[in-house]
Amino acid sequence: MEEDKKKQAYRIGAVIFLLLAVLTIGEYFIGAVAPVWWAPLLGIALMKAFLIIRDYMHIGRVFATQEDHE
Amino acid sequence: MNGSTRTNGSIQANATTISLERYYQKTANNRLGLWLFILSDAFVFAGLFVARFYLLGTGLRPELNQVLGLIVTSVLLVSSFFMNRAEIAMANGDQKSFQRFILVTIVLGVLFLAGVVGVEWPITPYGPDHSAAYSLFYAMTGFHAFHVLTGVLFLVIVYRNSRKGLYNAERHWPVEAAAVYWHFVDVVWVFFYPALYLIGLPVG
Repeated sequence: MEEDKKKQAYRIGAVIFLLLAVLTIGEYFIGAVAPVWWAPLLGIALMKAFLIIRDYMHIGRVFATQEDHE
Repeated sequence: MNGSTRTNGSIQANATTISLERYYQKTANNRLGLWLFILSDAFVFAGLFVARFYLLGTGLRPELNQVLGLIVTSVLLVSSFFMNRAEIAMANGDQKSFQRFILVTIVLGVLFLAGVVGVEWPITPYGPDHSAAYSLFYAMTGFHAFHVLTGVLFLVIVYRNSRKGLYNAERHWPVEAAAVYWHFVDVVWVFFYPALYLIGLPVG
């Protein structure tokens, strides 16, 4: 059971990393081809920040109750 | 004799439960404090970010090496991945994996610093005294690099403490705090990277 939870946590971390990598490569090419397209570039940055804050920084834990820990 | 041992055991178990409850309560308070610190720090970075667009708009950017920008960004991204794995390992009591992953994160953090301060700064065609825009470029990357450096020091301390056996699956708040701080430094770069390297045409 614990091992399953650990594997799932690793899997989520890897999926988020892949998404971040794809977005980073995407923004590099947008920057190289059309550097004046600032809105999509900032949009991608916002998406990346959202993924990191939610899944790597676990912002949800700030609002967790005592029972969530147990 | 047996009864007394059982009573002692149950008292100890109760004490551990109460102590663990207190630890969780303390951790909840610590989390709130850390996020308030991060929020206040984020405002400083936001000020620098806005200043970049005030000075150069969306049509211009500093003359920087875009490939090097992608490389240092990738290094920081991979470091975040390993930091996440390190935290998961500790939360599951896997000390060996934790130490391995945290070492990789530290090395990548040092590589990022070397890439920005050791390579990017010397090859940038203009110094901080050239114009307000370049002064801001050095301020943004310098301030961020300083945060990466403090993050690396934080990770080294956490690594050393884990070698002393100070953390376990139930009690590892410093590991969580180091991870959140490290990812925050990554989030800041997520915005600085397009602002400095991608948006606009190079300005001399």
